Amino acid sequence: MDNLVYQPLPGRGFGLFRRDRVWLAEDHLLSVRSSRFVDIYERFYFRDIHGIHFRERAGEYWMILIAFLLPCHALVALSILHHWAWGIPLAPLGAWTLTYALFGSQAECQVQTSLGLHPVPAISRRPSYDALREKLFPRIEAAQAELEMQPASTVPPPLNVPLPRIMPAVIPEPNRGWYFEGAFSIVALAAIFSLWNQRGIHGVAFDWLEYGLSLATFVSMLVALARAYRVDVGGGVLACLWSIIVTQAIYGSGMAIAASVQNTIARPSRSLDHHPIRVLPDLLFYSTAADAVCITAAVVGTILIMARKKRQLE
Amino acid sequence: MVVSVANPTVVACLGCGSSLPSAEVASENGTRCLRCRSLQRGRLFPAAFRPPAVMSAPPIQQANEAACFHHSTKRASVACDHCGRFLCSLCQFAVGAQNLCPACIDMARDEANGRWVARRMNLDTVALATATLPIFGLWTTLVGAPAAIYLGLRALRQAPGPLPRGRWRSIVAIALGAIQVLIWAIFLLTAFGTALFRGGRLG
Repeated sequence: MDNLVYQPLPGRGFGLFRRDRVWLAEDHLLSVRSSRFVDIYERFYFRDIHGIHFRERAGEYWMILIAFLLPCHALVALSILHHWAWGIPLAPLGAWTLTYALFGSQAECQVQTSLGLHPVPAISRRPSYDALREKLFPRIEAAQAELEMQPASTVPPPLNVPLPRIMPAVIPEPNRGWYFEGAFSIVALAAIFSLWNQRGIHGVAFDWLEYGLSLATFVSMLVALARAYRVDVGGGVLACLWSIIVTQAIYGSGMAIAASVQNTIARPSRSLDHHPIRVLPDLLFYSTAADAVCITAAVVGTILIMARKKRQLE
Repeated sequence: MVVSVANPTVVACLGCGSSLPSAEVASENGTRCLRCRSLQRGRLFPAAFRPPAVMSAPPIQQANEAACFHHSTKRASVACDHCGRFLCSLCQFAVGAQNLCPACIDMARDEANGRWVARRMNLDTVALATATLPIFGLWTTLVGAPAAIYLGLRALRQAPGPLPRGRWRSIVAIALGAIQVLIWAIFLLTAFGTALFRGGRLG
């Protein structure tokens, strides 16, 4: 048992079955990763800490886009579709927007020691990092006061010892952001389909809104893929081609779903009301060969791109 | 973001690995990585620029001196608090108040990420979950209630962890388990007890 006095620092890990916290003691920082049933402790003594690093993800671009899409979808859902259930797909995005507005973008914090980088999952937002910075940095500086702030490159190594070893290489985490961006684009396209489904009912303004949203979504997909690649021209061209195919595939399947639903509404005795499974033949009927080719190409392209990224990371 | 001792003026982005000037990263507002657009903040401390310490262990001078388990020519200075092997100052790792050898540290490594970790199971939370969750299954409380009492009693005797933690979870778990056992006892006596007593009197 440690007879230590720990002071809790603000910041909690995000998750239903996670309760990550950071505690401050007199001479060390205690990071606790917890699944509520099991606690895992990591202690970082002030004299051993080489650096504290904080990275806040760039979420504001998507935030702006979501903040634009959410009211549009809510407007359509309430005024035209007359059912609140159409808003359900965008509820997670609304929650994300609210969290972002209140606490800032999601971030990661890592402590650097001579062994490498150690993630501190409890520090996942900017306010908690600011609190950590305010309370922890002076203590580390005081603990390391006797060490001179002198670059090692200017210190000649002793003759009888090996050269100072370079810090362990850190393999960058795979950029999982593009999966979320892809998922976001698909949800955004779903919002467009809800407009598309109403084509012919509304006027010119909604047509323009629909085209604008389509264009914004398409551009956002291109940007997301370009960001995910950022390697070479060939990758960029492939990304553009892939996004066109995926967009066409989603549009095609969406049109098929819309046509199928409209057909079911027009002839309810034939489909959903009695035999929900019969909507599937309708879908196949309304899908074109081009849609099928695009969907197949999108799936294959996605697998190829993921394999390529995996090879790049290796 | 990680710094190399060879070039301390440049740090690498945590997200994409591109180079960033360490002075801008250490500024109040940090700097934005031009490649992945993420905001980078941080601070490097003097320990990052300190050349690695060079250690050596004194050799055995006399025949009656104990030798290190791993280095037969080096003089042992301490014994491992876990396995008892004699260790020279090269092999000695001070972990809190304990001195451990490299083998014992390796045994304590987390297999998943290779780090040396300390774990503690929160028996009181397990007991509380065992007392409450089986209620939804009703019949599962037949097993869950005694288990909750057992785990609650074990949690009360568990050595406290490094962080302050109240005992209310254990007490609530024991109380809930006891109530469930009592209800089961009343139910079983009501259902079968009368017949048993009557059978006993008739027999």
